[in-house]
Amino acid sequence: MMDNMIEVRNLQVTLAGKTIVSHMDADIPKGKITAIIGPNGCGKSTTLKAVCRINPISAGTITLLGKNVRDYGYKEFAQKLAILTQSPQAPADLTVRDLVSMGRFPYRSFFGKATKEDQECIEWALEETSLTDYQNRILQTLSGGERQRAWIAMALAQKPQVLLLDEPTTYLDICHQLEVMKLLDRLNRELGLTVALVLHDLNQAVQFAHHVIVMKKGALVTSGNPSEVITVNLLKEVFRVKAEDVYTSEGIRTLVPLDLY
Amino acid sequence: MAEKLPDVSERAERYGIDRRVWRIVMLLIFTVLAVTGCLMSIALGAADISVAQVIEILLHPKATPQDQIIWNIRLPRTIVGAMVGLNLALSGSILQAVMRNPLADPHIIGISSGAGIAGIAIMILFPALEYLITPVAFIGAMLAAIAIYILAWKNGIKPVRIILAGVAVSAFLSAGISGLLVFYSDRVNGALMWMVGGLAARSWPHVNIIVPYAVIGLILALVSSHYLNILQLGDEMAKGLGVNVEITRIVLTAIAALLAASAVSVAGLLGFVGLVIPHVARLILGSDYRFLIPGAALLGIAIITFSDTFARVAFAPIELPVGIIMAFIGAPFFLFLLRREL
Repeated sequence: MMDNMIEVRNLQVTLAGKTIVSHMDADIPKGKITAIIGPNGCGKSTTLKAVCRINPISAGTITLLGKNVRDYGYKEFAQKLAILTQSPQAPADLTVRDLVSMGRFPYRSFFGKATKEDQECIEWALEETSLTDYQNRILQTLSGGERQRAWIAMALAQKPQVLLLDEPTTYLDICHQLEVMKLLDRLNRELGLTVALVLHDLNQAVQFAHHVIVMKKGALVTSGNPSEVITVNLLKEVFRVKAEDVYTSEGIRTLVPLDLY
Repeated sequence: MAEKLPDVSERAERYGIDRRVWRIVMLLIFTVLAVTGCLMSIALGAADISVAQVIEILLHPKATPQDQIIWNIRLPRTIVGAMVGLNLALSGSILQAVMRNPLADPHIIGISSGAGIAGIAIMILFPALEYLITPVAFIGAMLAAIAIYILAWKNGIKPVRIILAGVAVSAFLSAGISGLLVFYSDRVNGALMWMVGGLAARSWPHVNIIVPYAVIGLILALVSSHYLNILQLGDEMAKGLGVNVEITRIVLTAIAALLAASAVSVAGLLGFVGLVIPHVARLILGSDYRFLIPGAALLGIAIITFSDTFARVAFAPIELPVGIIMAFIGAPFFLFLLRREL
């Protein structure tokens, strides 16, 4: 049973009197990359934020490493799970290193003194994201892709077992999108980091994810192996999009959207 | 948020000045300013006493008339002014992070009015309980803060709504204060001073009222600086990093309210210090609260001691309440921020 990092059972999330997610079930397997896909407004981000305790849960249970997320202490939880929200904000003069060092917050004592271990973790996180040379740069002067890497470095400094990301590639050009996806892929392979992310690009989901969760109207449609789940038929059912399978010269299947139904 | 002008510390770095060195040098300069402000406030006034004499008198008290003036009039007034400046500057610094709002200030937000009406009610209606003035003013300030949060809450908190709710709460409570002052004008000496904020006739009893809160508030503000830093990443990222955002926000608001309340208890509704000083400090030091808190505290001391000295000396023998000087500096600055930040 311990193959899943996170298990969501019968989840219901109601925000401002509106039920956005109901009867949602999902597993995020350990050591894998899980993509969450679905049309806009289907509750992907809401579910993700419920998992990381940003959104309150009105029914159901979510467990992390077999323990109800409710039962974790605030800092204890942040040591196990890191979240990167969509386009987070930072003060105008924050440097990359300032940001990454904030990732050590869950390990700091009440008075917040940085230890040698904190410094080592910050160095390590900068290195893993190839930002060592950028550490004294001001975050806002970096390109979108570099900035996203800096936020990922902050999350890494938390030394989490699972990293959740809400649309990490949105607003990035195709090169930076790939850069971020390849970084996550490497972190997953080399560190065994469990990754779960909301994605819009279905081909990226097929290419990088080991597991996919498909949502529609606040509930689970299906889940499983991306190349089996993400099909022409799924696009029709979930997105109302007419698509066709195209194979590259290397035999990689790509979905090409053609028209609306 | 819109593209911001690069702040001074950022520009310093572009010229190859190490940010840490820059910040420490600036903090030292702020310290010199604060000390100079205090010394000037003690030295200047109706009776001419040189700075050298002041230092001599402070180090070796005797019983001359100058000693009397300094020990009984100017020194306590300077201490009260310095602590009021420190408290309001820290209160504003904390509120700006907690409310994620560049225009937050205990005065504009209405926290000062909450403290003011509670404090004045004690002074007028229960003068025997004057020793309770700061705790009661604190309760008033917290109630005002809660009212503003509730009024501004609509699917989350927006900066503009906080300001507008604060203006409404502030106007409502100020009307109450004015009413009390009109009905009991015989019981309040210096009603005007209360409304605009001033330090006239502040002496040792007022020092005793404000100093403990200033010390506690400063320590709490310094301790919470890394929480204030994390809150600047937004509620969701702060939660993700393991901050209990709701509780942290309540505790920090309480610290800000305590600081403002003790300032209001001794100096009345002194405005704009909590708005101007944190911004000046942020412009020069950057947004890291570990430097911002001590920087704002020192600048708060400096601006009030300088302004109060100016208010006493410039139009002698008429003495202006320092709140008038602050409003003349602060109101244009507020408009400048409004154009820059929103």
